[in-house]
Amino acid sequence: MKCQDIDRYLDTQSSGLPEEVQAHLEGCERCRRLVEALQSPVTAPEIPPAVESRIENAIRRDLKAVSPLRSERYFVALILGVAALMWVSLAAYGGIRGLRSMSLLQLVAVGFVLLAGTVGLAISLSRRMVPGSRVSLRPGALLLAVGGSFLGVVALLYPWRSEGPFVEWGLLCTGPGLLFSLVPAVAFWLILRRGAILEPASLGALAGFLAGLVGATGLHLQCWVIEAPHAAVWHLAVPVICAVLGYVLGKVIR
Amino acid sequence: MRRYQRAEEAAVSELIRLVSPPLFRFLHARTPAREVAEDLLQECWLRIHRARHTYRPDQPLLPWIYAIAHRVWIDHYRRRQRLQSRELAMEELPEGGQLATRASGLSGLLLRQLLADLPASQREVVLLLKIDGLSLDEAARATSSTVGSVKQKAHRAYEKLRGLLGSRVDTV
Repeated sequence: MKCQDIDRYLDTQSSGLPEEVQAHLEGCERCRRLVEALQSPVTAPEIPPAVESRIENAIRRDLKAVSPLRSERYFVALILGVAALMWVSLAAYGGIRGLRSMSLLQLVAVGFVLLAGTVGLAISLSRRMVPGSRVSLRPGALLLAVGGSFLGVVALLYPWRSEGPFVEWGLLCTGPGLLFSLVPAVAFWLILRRGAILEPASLGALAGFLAGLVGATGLHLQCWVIEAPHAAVWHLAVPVICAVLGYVLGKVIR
Repeated sequence: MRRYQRAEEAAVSELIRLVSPPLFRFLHARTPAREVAEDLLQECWLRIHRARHTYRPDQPLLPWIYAIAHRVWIDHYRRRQRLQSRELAMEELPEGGQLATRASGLSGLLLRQLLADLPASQREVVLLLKIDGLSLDEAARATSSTVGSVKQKAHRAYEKLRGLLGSRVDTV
């Protein structure tokens, strides 16, 4: 047994030493001292009774029955429902010229990244409504993963050319994209405030990015400009701008 | 907790008596002054009360409570830093000598001194795992982090503690 194995033992055990651990500790003074230090008794300080009764009185004054928050699946479904409703509305009013302009491979790959990103962010958001929920990816890593995947797919499958006016066409996409994101952003905010928001800034960034992603997906339904620079800059700008706005709003609202 | 959500008065007293000691130990191990820890305990309970509807009976209670307590402490720390007109990132919470008193809620002089010498993020993980008695999964949930990240910080902390213990022996 090596010292690293003792670390793994310390991860899972707080008392009682298996034989193999004891054998290692007998021969390794550094580990023995570490285990002794970490197992030294710790006592909790006394709480003054006045403090406890103050807390109890404050809570009793405002004691009302509450229903536990609905399940994580319910909120994931709610968030995805908002996104789907937005896409169906955009397709009904604006058409799906963008989808028709894409090749089958582009359609499948970009569609997969956007949908997977939407589902991943919906799960992450609904978990963050409840303190102490399990975290698979930190918000920054999640946003990078979704944004990076989108960039990767666009860079690989879209042609690297820019035939029309780059900025003019770009602004024609980013502007409406931000507008498409507005309704989901408000809906997500209404959903999230039903939970307990511990980190408003990072939650704001996540919710903003998701709203922006819904808007960007709406753009892909309608935008006929199948060019890598256009999609990489102007379409991705929508979730990025929304994430920054969400972060700032979260900071302000906290 | 279910009875508390149903607004049963007896459940309030029971829960406060049951949960306050570990919560107070958690807060007092991170804040130097006992009065501050008492204020934070009250703040913590108010937030628990406001968020009580978000507790789901099928989920573990401790990470839910410690996540709220962790946030109360972070908010307190940031407020204090703003008052001192300093800007420090979360990962750069105060370290070193001034923290000798930070773990004053713990008994056992050696452990107290050792923890004070650890970087804040590593000390936080050791406190949660070894003092508060949380599992890796619970500590990860309480700090909105991943199990891998908690494990990595803990292992770095153990290695540093070995070094610190060694240097103590050398100087004696």
